[in-house]
Amino acid sequence: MKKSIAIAIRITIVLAGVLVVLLGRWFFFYDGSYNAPPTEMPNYESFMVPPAPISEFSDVYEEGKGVILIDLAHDNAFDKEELNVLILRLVSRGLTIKFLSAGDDLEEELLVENDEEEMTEEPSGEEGDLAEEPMNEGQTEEEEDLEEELPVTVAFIVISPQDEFSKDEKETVGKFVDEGGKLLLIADPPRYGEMNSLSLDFGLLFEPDYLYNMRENETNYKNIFVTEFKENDITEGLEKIALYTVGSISSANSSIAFVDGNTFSNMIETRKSLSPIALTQESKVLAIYDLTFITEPYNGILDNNHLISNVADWLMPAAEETEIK
Amino acid sequence: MLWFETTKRLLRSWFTSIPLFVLLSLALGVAIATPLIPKPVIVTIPVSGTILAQAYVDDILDLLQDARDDNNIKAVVLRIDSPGGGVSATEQIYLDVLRVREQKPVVTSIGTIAASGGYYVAVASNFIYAEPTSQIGSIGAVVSIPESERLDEDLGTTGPFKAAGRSRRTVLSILEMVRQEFVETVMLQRGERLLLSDEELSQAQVYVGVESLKYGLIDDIGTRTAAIEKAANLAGIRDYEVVDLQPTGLPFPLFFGSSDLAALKAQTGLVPKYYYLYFEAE
Repeated sequence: MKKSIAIAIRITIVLAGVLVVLLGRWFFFYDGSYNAPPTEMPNYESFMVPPAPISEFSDVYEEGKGVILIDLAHDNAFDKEELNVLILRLVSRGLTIKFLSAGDDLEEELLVENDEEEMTEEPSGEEGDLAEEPMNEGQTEEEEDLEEELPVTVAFIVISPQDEFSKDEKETVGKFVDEGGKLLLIADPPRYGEMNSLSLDFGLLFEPDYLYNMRENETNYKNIFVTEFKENDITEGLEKIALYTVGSISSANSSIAFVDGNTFSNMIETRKSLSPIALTQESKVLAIYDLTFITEPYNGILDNNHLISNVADWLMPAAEETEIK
Repeated sequence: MLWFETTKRLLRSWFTSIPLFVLLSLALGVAIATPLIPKPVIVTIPVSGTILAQAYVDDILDLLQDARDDNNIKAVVLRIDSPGGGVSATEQIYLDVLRVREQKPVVTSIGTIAASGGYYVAVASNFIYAEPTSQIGSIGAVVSIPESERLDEDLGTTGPFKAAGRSRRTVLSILEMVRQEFVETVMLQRGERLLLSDEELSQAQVYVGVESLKYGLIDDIGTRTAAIEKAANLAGIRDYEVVDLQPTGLPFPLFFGSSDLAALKAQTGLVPKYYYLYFEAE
């Protein structure tokens, strides 16, 4: 009995000794333990983008006559396919689309036919001078009638020119506008070029910026909504449009569409009233700082189609009304 | 025979004496304590350069797994010097850092930059240090929107999106969801420490270290040394060994220019790729 107690004491001593060493080492290295914070994961199902606000649209228009000249002579940064929606609206209104290529005479395309028009409209009391001109050799009467009826250039569209307009070209365009022609200037911030070489002649400055709205936007902060409009033919019937990577146009009281207080320019920080659309020169020069809204599928968002139709109506001389469903 | 009996008695008294047992037990304790309670280790793992190559990501994931599985490793210090990278690559590292954090403290030490995906990884840690002028933030994503599919009669597909996956417009919608996920992740992980709103985070600004501290994007100003001490503190260790782990592969270069992005875009082809990446714009 005495012996077993002695053994037990010895074992206890050994264990205690080992334990002391282990505890000593433990407390030498450690003074606490790690409490892991709870791992929270985002609610992945909550991440969503509202569906695109597509609007139904019926194009209501009047038919007219005339040529719409589209500039391709200034290394313009766009594909013809991007204008499909606008061109279809113009063609359906009876307008003829013509492209101005490099090497074409701008003055001839814009002014000569207009001069002829003026000549045909001269109240001479008799038939116009053109009608009295002798027929060319080999020219049939039908061909002569056709020549007389050739539509004149009623509007000139310039989209994102990358080459500057020369002094002569600017004078020609200015004269065209003075004589009643419409000028549509469309630029796009990602393809910012030399639009100001022409637009400044009409008091319009395309700023080298883009507009953004972090609070309310169409899928992306650079896709902004515009809801404030000044009443005129271009903005008639518009409640809300969406523009896609759009810049601001500075002008002296020519702005017709304004962004809201949550929309900012990436460059202009001091001015509050920013506008991407302007109309000037007695409503004969329209400037829009976005091309994307004209293209598929962005034309179908909100009132964009309505705006495109308003622009098409503005570009043409009025006539009888038709409706396409 | 007398000397033999005397020696035997002496030895018996020695072996039965308490002090001897105490000495023996201490010696035994020392012998088994070293393997039983090894010196704690804090490992440092670098996350540097542009996080793009899957091989590099795999290396980091292996190191994180080693850190998680090795009982001797008591804490991890991430040394982040990255402008981010691919969304998938970044998320892989982020999720594995979270797994480590469930068992061991993870402290981040930001060097020159922890922007976009670099910061995404950082928020998974318990505590973030940065230097006063470290570049931090750029919370958001970029995507190279693929070109429209060109019809090719030599390539048969079974559906309109078989080649491109999604429409160009949908790619932007997904980008918005990716933004939401990034912002939500930052807000969730930083919690009440964060003083920036959803909208402010979404602006994707890059802040320097002192600003980041003010806005709660980081927890303190400090270097690798401070991060190691903090990791030890969180792990509850006072004496430790520091081991620097290194991935075997080399990362992409640290700074990413617009020309590199153009090259990436060219590689993308029809398929959109999303990046948590801060790059030098033109």
